Amino acid sequence: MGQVWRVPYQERAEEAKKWATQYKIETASQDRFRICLLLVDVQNTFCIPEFELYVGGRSGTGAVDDNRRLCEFIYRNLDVITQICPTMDTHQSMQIFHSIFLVNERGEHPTPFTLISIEDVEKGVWKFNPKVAAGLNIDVDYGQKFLHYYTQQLQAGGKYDLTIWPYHAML
Amino acid sequence: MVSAVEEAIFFYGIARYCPPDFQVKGSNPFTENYSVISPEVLEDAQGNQIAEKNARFVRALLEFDAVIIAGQAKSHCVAWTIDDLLSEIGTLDKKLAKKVYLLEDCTSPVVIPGVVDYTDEANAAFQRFSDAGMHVFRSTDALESWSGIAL
Repeated sequence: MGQVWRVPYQERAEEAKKWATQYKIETASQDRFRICLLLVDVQNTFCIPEFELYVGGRSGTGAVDDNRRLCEFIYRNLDVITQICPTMDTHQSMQIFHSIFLVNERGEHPTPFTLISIEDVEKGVWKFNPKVAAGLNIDVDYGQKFLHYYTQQLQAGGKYDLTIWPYHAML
Repeated sequence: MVSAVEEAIFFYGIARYCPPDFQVKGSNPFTENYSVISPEVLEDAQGNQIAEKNARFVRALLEFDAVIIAGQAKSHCVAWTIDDLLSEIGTLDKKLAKKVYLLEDCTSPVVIPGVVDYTDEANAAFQRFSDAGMHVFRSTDALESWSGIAL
């Protein structure tokens, strides 16, 4: 559960077909009461210990235990779940919540889990990194103004401050 | 995707002849995108659009009789996805919140010992979702016993 391994697709496909025949499981399109299972970001980066942003909860084994129960839930209710919708977080290095996007007076980047408020931006604690501009097809002034606007919008929306995350979910 | 869960989804897809409906998010350089329904910020300081909501997906979700939600992290992508879904429900019909079921034992908050602990924020969010009419169940509770599930 807490490791990455190759899924034996061909074997599982054959087993799944046998299972469906044996237990007379209908196709999902026949469901009269339609149930969607929305699975948010059940990705290695969040769920495997030692990966970039492992979600341990207070127990330290959070996502691993969650996924064991989730797999059991899927198999147990396979005949009544109509659709599974997995979401996938997909990132690149130069995004607003990654270290390289920001820089301080000394040329340093914020460390992971730094929270950046509008006050930090106004005081110049953290600024838009001008070297990022060309790669994102914007000019430096736009980048700095956008950073200010962005932190303002987060605050106004009652969201968490801009959070610098470890590089994760990389494409 | 986590191997064991990918395997379960694959097995499900073959047994039920139903491919998963993947929703990809997060690659816009200018905004965080915790929620699958909407990026955090949609426009720049000049009012130009930089990103958009996934309105098609909201419509698809609300056409189901029940939507069960699990995943990671309870304090971030799960919480903000549910929060956005609740906002959309608020503009349509508040009773739609009863269609939503949260699997509380298949989701955990971000905790980095000694650095951050979002457990309380996550629990407060789930309480708010419950107060708004969403159901909170455990994966081990028999599905047929859940309120509003008519199998």
